[in-house]
Amino acid sequence: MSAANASGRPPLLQVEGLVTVFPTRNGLLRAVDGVDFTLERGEILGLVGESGSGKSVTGFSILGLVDPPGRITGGRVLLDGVDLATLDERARRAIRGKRIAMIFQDPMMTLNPVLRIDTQMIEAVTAHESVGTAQARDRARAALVQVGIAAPDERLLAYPHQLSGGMRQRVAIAIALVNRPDLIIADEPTTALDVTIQGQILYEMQALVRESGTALVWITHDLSVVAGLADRVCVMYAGRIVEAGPVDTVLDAPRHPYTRGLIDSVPAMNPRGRPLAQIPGNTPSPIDLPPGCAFRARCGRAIERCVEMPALASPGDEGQGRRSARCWHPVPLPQATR
Amino acid sequence: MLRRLMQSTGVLFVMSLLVFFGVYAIGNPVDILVNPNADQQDIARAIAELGLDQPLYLQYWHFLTSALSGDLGRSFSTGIPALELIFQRMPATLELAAASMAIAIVLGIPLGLYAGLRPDSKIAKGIMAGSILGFSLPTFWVGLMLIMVFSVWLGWLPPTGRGDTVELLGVQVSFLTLDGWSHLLLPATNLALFNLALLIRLTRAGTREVMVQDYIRFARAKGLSDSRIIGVHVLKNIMIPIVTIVGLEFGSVIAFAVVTESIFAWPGMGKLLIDSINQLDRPVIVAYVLLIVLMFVLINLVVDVLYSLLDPRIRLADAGGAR
Amino acid sequence: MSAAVQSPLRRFLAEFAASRVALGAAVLLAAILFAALFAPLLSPQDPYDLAQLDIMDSKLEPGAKGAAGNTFVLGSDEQGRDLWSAILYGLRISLGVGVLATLVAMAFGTLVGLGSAWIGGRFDSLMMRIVDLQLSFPAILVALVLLAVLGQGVDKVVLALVIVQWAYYARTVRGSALVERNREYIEAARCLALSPARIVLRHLLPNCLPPLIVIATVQVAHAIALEATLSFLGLGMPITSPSLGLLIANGYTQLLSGKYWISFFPGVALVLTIVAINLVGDQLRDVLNPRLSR
Repeated sequence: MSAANASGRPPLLQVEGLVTVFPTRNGLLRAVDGVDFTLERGEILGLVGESGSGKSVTGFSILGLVDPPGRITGGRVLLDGVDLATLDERARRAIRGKRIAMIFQDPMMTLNPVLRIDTQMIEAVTAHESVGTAQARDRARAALVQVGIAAPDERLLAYPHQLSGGMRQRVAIAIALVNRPDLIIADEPTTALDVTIQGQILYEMQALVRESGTALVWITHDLSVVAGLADRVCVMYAGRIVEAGPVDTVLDAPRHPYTRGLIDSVPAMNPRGRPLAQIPGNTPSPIDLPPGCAFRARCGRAIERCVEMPALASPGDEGQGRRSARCWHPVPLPQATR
Repeated sequence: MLRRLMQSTGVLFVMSLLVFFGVYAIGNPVDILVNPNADQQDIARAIAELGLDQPLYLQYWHFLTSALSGDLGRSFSTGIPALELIFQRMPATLELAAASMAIAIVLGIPLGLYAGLRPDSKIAKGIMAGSILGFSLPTFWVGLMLIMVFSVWLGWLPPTGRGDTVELLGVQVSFLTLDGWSHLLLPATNLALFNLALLIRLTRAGTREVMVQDYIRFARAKGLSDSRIIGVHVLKNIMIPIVTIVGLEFGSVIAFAVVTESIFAWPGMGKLLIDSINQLDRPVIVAYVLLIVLMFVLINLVVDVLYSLLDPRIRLADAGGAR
Repeated sequence: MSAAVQSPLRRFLAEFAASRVALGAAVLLAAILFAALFAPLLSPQDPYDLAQLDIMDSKLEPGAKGAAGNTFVLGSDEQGRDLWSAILYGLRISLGVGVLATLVAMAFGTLVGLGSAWIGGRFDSLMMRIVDLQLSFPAILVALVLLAVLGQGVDKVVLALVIVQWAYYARTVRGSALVERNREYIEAARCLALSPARIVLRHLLPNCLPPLIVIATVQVAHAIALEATLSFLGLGMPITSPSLGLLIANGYTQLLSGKYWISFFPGVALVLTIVAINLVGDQLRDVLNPRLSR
């Protein structure tokens, strides 16, 4: 089943029909409900959605870090064609932090408050390679330099609370980079930071992964971040991908009404003087979703057929584009834009 | 730090006042401070000696200065200076307290960790039910039951006394002889129960709180082993409250030793206190109270220092002069 | 919704009964209270009427028959006293002392706590200093020293228990009163120019009650355990008021010779009482404080 690309090698990451559920008092919450995407080496993928759309859970599911009682009940995650579910815990642990690293949303919470930075960086190295502490320390120091931290030796001896939020996120990024992973999953790593720092980190991240050939999954609710960063984008709604494709194609000519709505509600993408558009209604509760398209209750283009679940497929009027949308009644292509 | 020292001195001062008024001012000091078996002459001499004809503040001054020079009177029943009597008994109590703390820590932290890591397992629920019992059962009754089961029915361990002791650095200790151990085990277990329950709960609560933190998930994402995550990331975080409580509880253990020592006839200062109360040997009581207050104050100070050593956030605040 | 129709009391009872353990503990506690209250009716003999005691019945095993043909269900003590009767009478004394001390301590502590929160300033900081100072020493130690100074007697035991306990209430009440004080309804009551006493007692106090009830429940158990401990050490109740602790102490010397029941059964009664109260208290806390319930 693993699709081979041009070079004959399987893609770096394949996610197929991933389902992650959380049992709650009111029923089963299907946080991720059949997500598929692939990622090539060095590619940057933007995973976009509102909070509760399942984008973060998707990231955690790939690493096998879903908190109990949540669990993955369906689908596969393949790294280099190897199904991670077939590996034992030891082998999965060898992948975490070594081949796939992760950066979290809130830098105030991701570093252990009672351990020094050097401890937390060195252990990330020695967990995967039998190198001496001195060597691991050199690597940690180099990683700090890489993410643009001045006076790295001083920072290594600091405790997290002695660093600013932006600095802490840089440390977290350095920890992710320290083992030169093939893939970094970044879960809204700039949301909790000041706007100026956000821009810097975004820019640096992009440069770093391009330079090292690392693939990146950037999870965000902010379409404008994705626009300047990603190669491809997946838009998630209620646990499913509703539209996926090259970032320019999707942002310039969205086909799913939800993507359209998202773009229209980004202030910068809106023509001046026009009131901001907003998507009517609220995100539905992901518990006991009615069958059919989850967006139909809020959708201006909903038709009768929307009570059936549409597949994520290339819209019929578009030819063999690399873009796909999960919609029976897609937004028409803009006339003669090219 | 200086502020803490001054606070501690303040507490000591207040307590000395309380003890002074409790013993000297309420009721007739002659009754309290002079051996009830003394004759008329002795009483007259004592009144003059104690300066009871002087005004109250002078009496307090006298009490305070002699207390500071280590003179807290002589025991009525033995004639030995009260402080000396207590210091003789103190090693036994400290040994008992230390042994019970060790039991509580060695068992409590692993059990609490387990209960915190698998809160829904049957074993964890059993541990928690046990800790509720540890909290609510009266110490003295558990002590009786221990004697009943292990000494009377099973005949495994001796019910009372301290057993053979060995001199170590000029102090008699029992943990170096087998007989000493057999005598120490029951009372130490008895005394440990409350703190065992407390440590289980603390460790469990701390573990559950820490385990859901982002930094634990981040540590997982780094690919660290479970033993490293639990042994370093979790433990280091929960150690802060645990060390604080263990430190503070050491004082309580010494206080609660009064009960355990009485049950197991352990010749410590707690048993001395009860015997002295029963014999109305008041200088010993006064000496005991002042000494234990001093101990509490010292323990509080040490815990404060330890706390700031363990928690880097506090250390910074101190260095920055913020506190 | 049917939940909205239920009265607060019914909802409270339903939530309380949701835990089977707590329900069982409540039933047990009710039985214990009943037994203590009607001890004279439930006991085969008045254990302290010397005319009813026969020295020939001394130290009988549980279930043995006495000289007069009566059965000693839980055995007898040195003086030939029926232990079952002694336990029922002892329960009365233990519970009575525990509840009385708790009520007095609660009243006093609440007064101090409310006053502290309402008056604030120097009075507040002085009171809280005293509370902190006292709570930094273990209750058993404070009680021992107090009794060493005060001497023996029921009134002195109660006084010692009150002194040991009041600080908890003062601190708790002050805490919740400080929170409630800034609520709008107090503001409203002030705007109506109600007298301070009325505001504090009729408006502030009722809203501080839930945590108070929880603490008081658990504190009764503590008071009973502490009294038993003190009595066991020979510093608590006088011989004329044989509480459970005193019964246990009396049997202690017999324990070593294998006559376990003289200490064991009063101990079981004591433990059942304390555990039942604690379990009920725990459930009360969970029900009255939704923030803590999981």
